[in-house]
Parts: sequence; C-alpha cells; structure tokens
Amino acid sequence: MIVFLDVIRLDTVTARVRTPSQSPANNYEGIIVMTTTGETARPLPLLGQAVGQAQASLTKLLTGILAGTGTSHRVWLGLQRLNALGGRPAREAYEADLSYWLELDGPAAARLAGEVVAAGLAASGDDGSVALSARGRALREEVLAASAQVTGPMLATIDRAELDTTIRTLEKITRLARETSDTEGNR
Amino acid sequence: MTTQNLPGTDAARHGTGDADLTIMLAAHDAFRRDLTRLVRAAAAADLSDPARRRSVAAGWELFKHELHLHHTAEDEVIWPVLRPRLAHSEHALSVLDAMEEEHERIDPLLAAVDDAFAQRREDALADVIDALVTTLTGHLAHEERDGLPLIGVALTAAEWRGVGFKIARRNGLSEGGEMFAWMLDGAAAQGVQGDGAHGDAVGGAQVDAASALRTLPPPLRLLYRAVWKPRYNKTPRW
Repeated sequence: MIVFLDVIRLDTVTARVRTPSQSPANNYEGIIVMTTTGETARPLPLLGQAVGQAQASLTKLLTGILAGTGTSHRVWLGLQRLNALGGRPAREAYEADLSYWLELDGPAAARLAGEVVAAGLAASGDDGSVALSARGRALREEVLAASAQVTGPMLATIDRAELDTTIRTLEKITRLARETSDTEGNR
Repeated sequence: MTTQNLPGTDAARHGTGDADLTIMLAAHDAFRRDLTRLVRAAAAADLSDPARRRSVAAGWELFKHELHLHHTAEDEVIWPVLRPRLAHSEHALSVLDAMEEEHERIDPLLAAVDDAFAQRREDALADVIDALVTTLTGHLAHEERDGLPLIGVALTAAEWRGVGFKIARRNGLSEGGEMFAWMLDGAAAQGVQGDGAHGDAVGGAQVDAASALRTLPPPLRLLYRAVWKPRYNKTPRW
C-alpha cells in the first residue's frame, strides 16, 4: 500500500462543541468533536501525531524501495499525481495540481514537472500536455508491486474491516481538512 | 577498499576515500564464482543430457547478462563520471582507457564459448573457457588494484551513491533484484537467512552476503528474502 497522506494536525484544530444528542460520546468519525460537558468529556485524540508517524514510517519503507529504482520520493509523488490526473493532463493543470497537493509554489511545481519529464517518466506533448511514458508506467507498476510485497504481510496482521474503516476515515478527514482550508482561504 | 595511492592522482583529489565499493567487489566475487562453476561444468558435465545442458545454459546466460550490465555501467556511467575529475592525471586516465580496452577483449571470448557450446565441441570448449578465465580474472584483478581505487579519489561517498542511483534508474528494480540474488548466490551467509544453496568457496574479494545486503535499505533486504532470492532459486543453474 502506498500511502499518500498529508500530515494534518487535527490536534491543533479548534474543537467544536456539540450536544450529546448530536454526537455520541464515542463517535470520532470526521472532524474530531470534543465534548466539554462535565463527566462525558474525553480528551482529543492525538490524531495528527498518529497520522504523521504512520505516514513517516510508511514513507521510509517507500523511500527504501524507491532507492532500488534510483527515483527520489519527490519525483515519485510527481509521477503519482500525473497518474491520478489520468496520465495526460495539460501542463498547466498538472503544475496546478502539484502546487495544490504537494503544497509547492508555482516555480517549484514547474521544476518538479520538469524533473518527471527529464527522468523519462513522462513526455511533453506538442499539444501542451504532459503524458505518462511507458517507462513511467513501468516504474509505477514495479514500485507498487514491490511495495505490496513489503506491506502486504504487515497489513495482513490487521483486521481487514478495521483497515477499511481506517482508510475511509483518513480519506474523509483529508477531504474535510481540505474543505476547511479552502473555506478559510476564501474568506 | 576505499583508498588508493596511484601516482599523480592525489594532486587534485575530490573524493574523500570513503566511497563504499562493497557491491563492486561482491559482483567481482560472483564473476569469479561463476567462472569456477563454468570450468567445473565443462569438465564434468554430460552435456548430451538435456536437463544438464539447460541448467548449465541458464547459469551461463545469467553470467553473461550480469557481466554485460556490469561492464556497460562502468563504461557508460562510472568511468565517464571519473574522467573529468581525474583529468590532471595521465596515469589515472590511462587506467580507465585500459579498463575499456579489456572489456572489449572479453566480448569475443564470450562469443567463442557460445560457439563451442552450440557446436558441442567439448575439446574446443575447454580451450576457450581457459582463455576467458585467464582474461576476465586478470581484468578483475587489474580493476581492483588500479581502477576501483580511483572511485575513492574522484568521488565523495555521496557522489558515489548518486552514481549507484543512476545505474539503478537504468536497470530498474527487477534487474537490481536479480543482480543481488545472483551476486549473493552461495556467498558466505553470515546473518542472512536462507542462503548457501551452493556453498562454493571461491577466491576473490570475498565480500560476505551480510555486508552486501547492508548496502540496501531495509525494505529492499526484505524484498531480497521474500521475492528476489526465491524467484532466483526457481531456476536450476550450473
């Protein structure tokens, strides 16, 4: 499994107060809710720390595998975003996506797009697109297969339902955090 | 082996003498090991037995493949990186020239062994194998004595790692995995599980498997044990 998470520090997000009827005490799905009413108050889970540590540990495994291909983690993320965009986005859209997901400024996103092309993992088209190359596809498949070999036995020790819930929850947290960030950014 | 004392090469030294040459030396050990197996196979094998022929051919083909990758990496990546750094030393440049010339001399010998195998001329096979062994072992010794030390003169450890990444990019993870499994086949298995299939004790630099594996990041060591080595072991060789 290749984890592509942003480190989110929900432990620093201001907690909102809900009534017990709106939020059962044991419901921590979505935005973390901390009740503050007397006996039912529970400490805010250190979600950001847990997610950050999980991400750092999985990234370390991934970086080790990438070393065997001579690919940097940065270029790998650029390749992953290119694939997520369908493998042939307009250059402008690709750079904007890199800026958004990897939190790069414009020049840094342009440099990373250039590095992905320079590594032969993508090619610039005459129509202004950036297209995933056969080499880029092969590298993705190779790294994903190797990653599955490394993380598969590890994740097999975790209950499948718990794993599915964890992934769904993290995806939801990511979406909510992004929406919060975008909403605040547009104020 | 990370230092050198060749004449003139210290005049403008870039390297810090700490480039890790473990993989280069382990590959040389593996070439020597396979030459020993080749000699034994040619001397003892009943090459009219199809299964035996397939097994020897599999070992020989992989040996040639790994030798090609190794020499190509040296000629197209390593020596070109060293040349500008060693431009002040005629002696060092002449060593690199000699390395390339010696590589060229080996290719026809590989073809000659191929021909002798194909024609099942066992008398000729012994002669061409003898020529290959003499030439290749001579080259490996020359490179270890005069060529590889230039890496530590010209490059820092970090620069040398960068060269390794460049070679890894060219070859890909599958080739790298096969190379490690081949290189460590029968290597002294200190601290390594599931090794020692052949148990050959051959000459050369004698890099143990644990040292070679330590050059890999932990996830790749896991891949070696879980994937690369089992896949390698599926094919009988030599």
